[in-house]
Amino acid sequence: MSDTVVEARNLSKVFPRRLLSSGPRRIVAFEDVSIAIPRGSVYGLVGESGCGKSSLARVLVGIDRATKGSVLLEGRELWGLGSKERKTAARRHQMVYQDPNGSLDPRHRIGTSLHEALIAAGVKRAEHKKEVARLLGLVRLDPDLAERRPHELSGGQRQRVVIARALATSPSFMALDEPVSSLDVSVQASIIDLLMNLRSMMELTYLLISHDLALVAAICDRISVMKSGSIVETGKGRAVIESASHEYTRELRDRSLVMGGNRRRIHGTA
Amino acid sequence: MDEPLLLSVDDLVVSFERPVVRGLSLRLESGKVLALVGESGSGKTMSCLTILGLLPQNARHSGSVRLSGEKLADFSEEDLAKRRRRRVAMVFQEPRAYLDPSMKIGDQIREILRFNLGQSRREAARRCPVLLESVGLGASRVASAYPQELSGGMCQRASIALAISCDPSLLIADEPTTALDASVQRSILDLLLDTVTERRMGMIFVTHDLRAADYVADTVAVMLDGLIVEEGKSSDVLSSPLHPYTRLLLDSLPDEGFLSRKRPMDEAPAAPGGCPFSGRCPLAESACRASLPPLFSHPRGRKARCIKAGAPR
Repeated sequence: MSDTVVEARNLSKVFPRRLLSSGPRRIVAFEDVSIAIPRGSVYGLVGESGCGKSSLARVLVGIDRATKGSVLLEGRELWGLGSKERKTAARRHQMVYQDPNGSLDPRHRIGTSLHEALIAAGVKRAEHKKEVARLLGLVRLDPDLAERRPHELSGGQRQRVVIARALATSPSFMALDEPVSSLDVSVQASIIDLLMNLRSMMELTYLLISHDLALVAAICDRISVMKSGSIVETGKGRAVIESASHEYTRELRDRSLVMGGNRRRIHGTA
Repeated sequence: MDEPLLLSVDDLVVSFERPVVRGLSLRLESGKVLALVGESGSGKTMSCLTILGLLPQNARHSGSVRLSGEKLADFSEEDLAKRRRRRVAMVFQEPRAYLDPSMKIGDQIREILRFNLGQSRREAARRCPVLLESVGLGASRVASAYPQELSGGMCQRASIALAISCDPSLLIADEPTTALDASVQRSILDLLLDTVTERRMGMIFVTHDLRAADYVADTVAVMLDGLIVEEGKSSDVLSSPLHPYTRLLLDSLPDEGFLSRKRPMDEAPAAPGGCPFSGRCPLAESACRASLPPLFSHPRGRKARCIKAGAPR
């Protein structure tokens, strides 16, 4: 098996102008992007809002199709496959979004949302009940939560459910799009801890999208910095942020908040 | 006699079906910044709404709130509204929800000046660009723009301009940077600090982000489940916390040792009647679950609601 889980070769994505919109003719989400995500790694993608990082992730997991270039899943050209094969291949690639409220149907019980994912994964009906309990166990939730609806859960619990659902298809790769930024600080840490445990347990590969440089530096093996649709710098983990050889990376780093940098004390404005 | 304290809150209790703020006391001087740190449901927003006199109708509250020595509860509804507009202002988390999407920014500022300060059309027209420039916005362009034509950071600047338009003495900023991109957060915090310093205002900065609290605050009060669990100078509290909950919040920040640190894996509920952190606390013993510890005093004016405060991990 190939040692690269996902590879992007010269990918571009252009959104055409919407009908009757007065905006620009076309919007370039990203242009000529090439990255290779090694198996078992946590790959970080940082950049400010609107730089194209989420659009890139959607193309990498096979939700959207690139305008130009190719996506290789496990070494196979994704859009060169027949539609049935492509769907099977893409199932092994899952996505977790920022807002767990938006990704769970509020009318469905948690169990129902998980059932749907199990159907998509081709799991036999008879095994669903056992599988739902197993999935909830994986994300350290009480199996009784299957009977509840999303609004009865806390934000952290909902994000765990979303992760459990992504695990239903036994993925090899997960794109995590700001998975913790809408959560409380201590809950953020517990979700990250959970994701890291799952990774070693199930041999997962992650793409972590975040605007929190400190988080990306703390947990990623490789990091790419993206600016207005292009990758400006790629390198090994923390070193990318610390040495920041590209001017833009430096700018991002200098603009982020770190502990011990109290402006009032340091500059004596008090 | 000394000038009365800008804000003093004593033993504030706010309850709906159950109490959400359980005996809060705060002090704030002019020119200082107090960070109220807590996670969702800790009661920090409700505390702020009480200071503004804006609690929902179905809330009951007791305790006292004094603004420059005057007790809030002594005012009539109408009087309170007038004073509130002039003396306390608030900046919210989501500026787009706070700004009126159907009005140009300039019109919104001019309306406030005319309505709250009774300025004439001409006076308001003169003051509006000055306010916009003071928050770092290009007056000519922004005044004629609708909120949706501006970025999140620009909207937040505009809402700060609105907040300071009546020259308040107290500014309450409720998670003002949470909804913004990390790369603009710092510039908004700088703006808030400059504003507070130049105008000798006091600021209550509500946040769950310890990095933001550390950047702006002179003093910090950490809230959990409607209670202050630790307070003191921000340099003390955020570098050597006494309460295990503050410790957990600091341990939850991503940094170099993040992955090797031990943290509770689950969001466990606390024992009713006991310390609100007892469910997750690594130091908890039976006494912690049996009764609520008082806020103990510690050296350097610090306080912590923990019987094992400062004990080694």
